[in-house]
Amino acid sequence: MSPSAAAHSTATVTVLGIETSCDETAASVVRLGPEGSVVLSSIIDSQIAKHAPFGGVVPEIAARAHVEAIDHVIRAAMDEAGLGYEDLDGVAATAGPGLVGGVMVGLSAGKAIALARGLPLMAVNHLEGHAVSARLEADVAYPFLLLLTSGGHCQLLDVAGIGRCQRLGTTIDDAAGEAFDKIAKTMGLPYPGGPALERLAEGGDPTRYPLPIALLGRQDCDFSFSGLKTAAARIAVTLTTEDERRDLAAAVQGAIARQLTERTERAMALHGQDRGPKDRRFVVAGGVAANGTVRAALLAACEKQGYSFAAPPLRYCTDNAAMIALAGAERLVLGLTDPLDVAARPRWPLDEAMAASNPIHKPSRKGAKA
Amino acid sequence: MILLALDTALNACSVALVEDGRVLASQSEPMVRGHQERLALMVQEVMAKADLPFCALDRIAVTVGPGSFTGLRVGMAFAKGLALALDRPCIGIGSLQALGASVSPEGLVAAVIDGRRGQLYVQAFIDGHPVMAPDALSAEVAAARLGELWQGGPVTLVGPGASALAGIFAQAVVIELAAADPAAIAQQASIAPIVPPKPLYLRAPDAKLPGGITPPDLDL
Repeated sequence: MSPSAAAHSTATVTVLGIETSCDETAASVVRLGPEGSVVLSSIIDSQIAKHAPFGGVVPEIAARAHVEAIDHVIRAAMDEAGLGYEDLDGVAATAGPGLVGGVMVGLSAGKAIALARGLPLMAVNHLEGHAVSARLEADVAYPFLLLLTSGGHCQLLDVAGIGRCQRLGTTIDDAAGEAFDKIAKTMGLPYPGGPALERLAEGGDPTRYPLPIALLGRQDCDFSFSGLKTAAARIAVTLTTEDERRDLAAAVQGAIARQLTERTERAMALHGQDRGPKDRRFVVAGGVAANGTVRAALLAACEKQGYSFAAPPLRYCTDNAAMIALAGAERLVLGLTDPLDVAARPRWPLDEAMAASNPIHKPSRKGAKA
Repeated sequence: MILLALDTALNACSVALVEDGRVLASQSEPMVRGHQERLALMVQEVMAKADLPFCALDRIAVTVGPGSFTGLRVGMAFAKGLALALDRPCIGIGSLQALGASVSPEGLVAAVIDGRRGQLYVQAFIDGHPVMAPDALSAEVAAARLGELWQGGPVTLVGPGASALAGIFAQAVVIELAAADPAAIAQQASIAPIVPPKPLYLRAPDAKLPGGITPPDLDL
């Protein structure tokens, strides 16, 4: 830690966070002090109804909705926190990765507020937001092993602290949440499919339809869900009764939970090698962490491997601005602020070195996604 | 009244600080992309040049389109952020209105932006007053509309798409401005009613419903 960071570490900072990287326009005020963090407000304006007819997020529709909602959402967050802009110590905005048209809306609004009030700006990586989400109003210390699993990402990361992440594995095709959503879509469930599929699976028999689980036993910590997606889609078209649909939903959920758990246990074997019981912490974050079956399976894996288990409350699993405000506050305390000409990044891996040196996909012209 | 005007809708990033019609400081840089990165620093530079604190501002003005979807969202989001943080009104000005106000108002003035895909974004003014709403038209239809509106006298075609209609009036003055004069935006906003900015895209998102169906009533 630099001397200036050490000087800050006992201070209390209050940060406005803004999140617009996908289909939620969100703003939040978080206070971070030596005792931990407090969420003073967290406003989320979801666009789900706007995208539902299309069966997925339409980037241009998302960007349009963000720019219409952004000021109302920020105002609501400030009002709910009961604070004025003079009470803030900094402004944090998601700068990527995500749908860049939306990212620019939140980042531009954040820059304007920072500039007008003379506040530092923190350009936050959305994935870092998910990484710190379990630290919202909870005592989860660094370092920890993180399973970040959402509609856009599926990664295992060794998180040593803010800006210090090492990627242990990532998906070689779809994200787990993407598999949930796409399989749900082929089963005729409404968007977003993950929660709908979880409801349908209640009481279903997960053993009726055997589904492939990729990469089991492999030495790395990567994921793959495309084979499962295809297999489930093939079965889905043959189903006639509600019972069959329920059993397939349960089988899909079970297969996803099984792969996430098996790959996580592999990561624990690597990550836990030289760590004492106190440093064996596991965190699951992202929208898929809201799934009860997935949570239960990961909790069991933690017990088996001697890891403590932490997950953010359900409201901070899916996209929100509280996690962006907290990541920004942690950055501010460390003196990690950004200039006002910082760019929005559609692609922005948390572990840039790993993404560049060991890309899972051949990186496109724009670089590795995550 | 001190106004800060922002324009990122077209191929320039422009900022002007205007007090009662007098330009205190302004800056305009041509660019096709990069408005998001540049805008905040340009605003900071313009405020510094005029040596004014942000609390001295009375109004924020911003162009709302038509124009580059990304560009106009950057400008509007930034303007909304300023307005929130300073508790000042933010006023949206149409890009075509801003272009029209950037030239002498005498006679028929038509502001024209190339909307691509065979469309021109057009709005016409006579002696400074709008005589049609902003519209997306083919060159033929635009020419016919302007011909109907013309009552004799001088004609000015202004904007990045002006040359597309240059052939229809033999005597027309064609001014191929890449973007509006930000001082003109401030001037328009100083007399405009305080209405929150609403984007004017003039084109629906490219999104099809399952089965390739064009969705009804998408907001323009």
